[in-house]
Amino acid sequence: MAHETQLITKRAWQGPGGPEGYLTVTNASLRWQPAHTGPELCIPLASISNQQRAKDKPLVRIALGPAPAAPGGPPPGPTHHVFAFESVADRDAALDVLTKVIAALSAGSGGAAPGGAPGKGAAPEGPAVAGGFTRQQRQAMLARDPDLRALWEDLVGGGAVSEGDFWSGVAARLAAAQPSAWGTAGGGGGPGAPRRRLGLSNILQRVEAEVDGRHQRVLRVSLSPEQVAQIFAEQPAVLRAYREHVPHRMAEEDFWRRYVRHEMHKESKRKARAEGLGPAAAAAAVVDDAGGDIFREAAAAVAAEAAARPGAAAAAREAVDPSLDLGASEGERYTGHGTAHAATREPELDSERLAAAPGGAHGPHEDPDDLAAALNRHGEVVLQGVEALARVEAQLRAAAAGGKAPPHPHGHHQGGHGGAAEGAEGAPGGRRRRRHSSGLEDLHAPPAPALEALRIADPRRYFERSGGAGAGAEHADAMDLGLGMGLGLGPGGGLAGALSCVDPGRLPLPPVAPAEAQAALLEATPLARVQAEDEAAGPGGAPVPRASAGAPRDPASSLPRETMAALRRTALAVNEACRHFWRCVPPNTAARRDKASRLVRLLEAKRSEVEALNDRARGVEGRFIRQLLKPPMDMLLTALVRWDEELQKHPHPPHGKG
Amino acid sequence: MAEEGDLLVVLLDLALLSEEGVGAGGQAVAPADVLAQLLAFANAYTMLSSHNRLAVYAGSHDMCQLVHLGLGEGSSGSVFPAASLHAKLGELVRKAEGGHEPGANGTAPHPAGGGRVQPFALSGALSRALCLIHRLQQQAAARGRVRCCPRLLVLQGSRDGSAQYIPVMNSIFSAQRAQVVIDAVVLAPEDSSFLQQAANLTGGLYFRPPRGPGGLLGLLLAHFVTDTATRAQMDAEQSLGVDFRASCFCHKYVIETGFVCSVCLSIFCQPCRACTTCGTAFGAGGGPHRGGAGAAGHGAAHATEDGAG
Repeated sequence: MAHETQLITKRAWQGPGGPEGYLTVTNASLRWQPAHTGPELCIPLASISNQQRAKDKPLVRIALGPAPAAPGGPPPGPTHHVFAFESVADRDAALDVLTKVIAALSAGSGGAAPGGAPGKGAAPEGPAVAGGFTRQQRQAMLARDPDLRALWEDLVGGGAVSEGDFWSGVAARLAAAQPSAWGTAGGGGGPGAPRRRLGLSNILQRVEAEVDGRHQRVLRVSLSPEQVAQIFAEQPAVLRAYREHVPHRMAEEDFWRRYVRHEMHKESKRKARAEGLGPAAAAAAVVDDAGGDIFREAAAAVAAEAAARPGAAAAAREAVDPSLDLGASEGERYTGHGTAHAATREPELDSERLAAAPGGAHGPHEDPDDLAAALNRHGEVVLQGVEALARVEAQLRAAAAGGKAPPHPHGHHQGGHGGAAEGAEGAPGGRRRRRHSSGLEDLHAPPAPALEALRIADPRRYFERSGGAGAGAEHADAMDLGLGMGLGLGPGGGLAGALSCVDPGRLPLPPVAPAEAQAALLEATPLARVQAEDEAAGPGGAPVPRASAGAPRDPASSLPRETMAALRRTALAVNEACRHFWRCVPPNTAARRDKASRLVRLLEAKRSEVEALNDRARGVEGRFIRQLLKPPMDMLLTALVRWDEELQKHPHPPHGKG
Repeated sequence: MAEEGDLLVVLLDLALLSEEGVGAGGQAVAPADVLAQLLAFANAYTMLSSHNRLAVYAGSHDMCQLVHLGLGEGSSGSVFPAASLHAKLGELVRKAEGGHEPGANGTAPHPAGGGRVQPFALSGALSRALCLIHRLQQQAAARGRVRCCPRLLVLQGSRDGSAQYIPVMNSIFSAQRAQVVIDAVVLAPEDSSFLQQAANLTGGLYFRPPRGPGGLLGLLLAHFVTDTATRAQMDAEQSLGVDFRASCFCHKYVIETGFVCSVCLSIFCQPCRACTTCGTAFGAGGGPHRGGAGAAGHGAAHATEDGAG
């Protein structure tokens, strides 16, 4: 068993309701180990004849081939085993590996012995499948990539890392490099990917209702809570009517019946207008709107509130994303033309509004029945996202918590645009809403965090104002220059002149003379200085004229190709060995400890190798080589120091399952 | 966890942008050239990574103001900080000219004392920068970001003010404790003992280019544009000598030999009857602890380790 390579392990129960344990697929068998006590189960892969997955259930039935029962021998074992996994995804992951291993076994037709690290320089035999790669795939990859080959010989050939571990690492690197092509079955697109969130539907809400066509009665209304919230957010008049009437004057169901009927009435009026019916025909075709008075009253109240606050609706409109604002109703508020979208608008109501408006001024509010305005509001709510709904729900909850729904004389609802009006009040400057405040974070960059400027002069003001968070961090305006501190710009006499001479949009190119920049570099960088001195001295100590002033030679160009290749291989091997080592930390099981010990031996060898390279390095190139070997040396020392610490903490090998 | 970009806070001594400060280095470099190089460095640092965050404090002998704060990707404003930085520096000058007459608040607007530039208010600048770093780190932690290794880059064009010894050293110890690296580029005629110690204690780099600020941008781009982890793998020369001399607590003289209070480690240039810091009364025999040659220097070194612990 020591030579078997574990490929995947999942938690599994032996049969539904059976004992809990862990199912492991190795390169030679399928093993089930109980979590607590009990007998283990080992099924050789060769004996598996079939595997059946239950549909939509995390169950699998492993059928075993007919075993020849020797006469007089032990009775034949069970013909199948059933395992229950935690999830269907777990089951599929385990069975996919199992299928691959069985297929590779049958294709290999008993070629190389499974497990066992091959000798140095040998062909990559090992298990049929390692890290998700078949033997043929692994051979092709090693033949294609000499660096990988060298790495494989260092780690697997030396016995420090098993074939499965090595190829698992390779697979992980490939998956990290190509996240779109490699296993994204876990969902989410990797740990760094932003979490997707369900947004709002961009479909204008149409309430589904069963209507008795003959008597034009609404029989049944289907509404989800999200739909209700969206209707409230988009139609403040409906929200107002709801808060005024439900539940103390009418039941919720009755309210929504009225609402549907009112919408049908508006729709039929639009149709009649579009079809150009005469007044009599239109009156016959239009659905009766007996219960719609509550909505008309609420709409009138909302409009009156908006008119009483001149500029609020305009500010709200300003807050709407300009790319969505249809802006249709404002310029078309006249009769005769362009009224198809506002088919339900009553001319009398308009005249009443005109008369009611203070000073005869017509407030720039929007008609609630205007289709363009409805689309604007809908677009606005969709862009605001679920925050708009949350606001409405909070209002409703607050109203419910206060006992009876108040008649809403001065409720939270501000009329006009609901959330938009609040947003406009929050930004008195009428600034347009930024697109990424729409709640669809996965489509936009994260918003800038609101920062409060910190003033040491008076920390209290900072802490008192930090709740407001009105000031953006980028705006150094809030940094109240010159307050609390004497601004005696003593040495700044030349500063004004320097500022006037420099245009930040047109900085000089190059900003500093190349000779001076090189001089500064040589002063501060030993390698560059040594190289420059070396070049200046020439081969025989005689100064050599520089071919191109200010262009130092790349030290890598003077190194032999073999040296560069050796350095590269060393760095890669150290990197990979350290990666495997850190996966074994903390070494809290015997298997981890064994693997870490093997890796530490490899790391010690690599350290000797790097030190020898450092010692052999001479001259300018030597300095360059030492510079290149600095990161691997740091990695080696860090790993070895950690291993020493672990040994001090746990001088004796921990006892446990391997 | 998401990546949090590098955080660099630049403390700019405005003496670098004055005729006296630049001329003090013995090099004929116009202040405008120095400013252009600094703006180019700010642009380069921000362009290197969209996650890089840059803050700039500008100060002189009696003030220090935050003139730029760019929080990297996602924040509003231009990608290039040079324009904002330039505008805020201009605003600083206008405020100084409009709001305060020269010599107001008892400050001397021009170099005093034989044409020497007044020392940079390093202690205040360090304190403010450390507070800003602390705030940004807290916010990053609240957003679940990986903690970065913040840096402070001091560009100083004036000499040390020995009167600031105690607050500067306290700030340095705070930075060391908060794992904030302090880098320094000194363009004054003499080395800065404060910044040498700051770089030494916090693992930063200290440069005083002998050629003055002419090739300042080359130096900045070579050593200060990368984060500390990357920089650790690069080739940089650091002078071996660090001036660990301390200033006495009584007269603020820079001394090589002094008297150290055995209780609070305060340093005095002459014997006294009681420690002016902690009030410990000393015996009639003289000072609390008669230090030999270099006693004060060693005292400062010990204090460094205590601060780190």
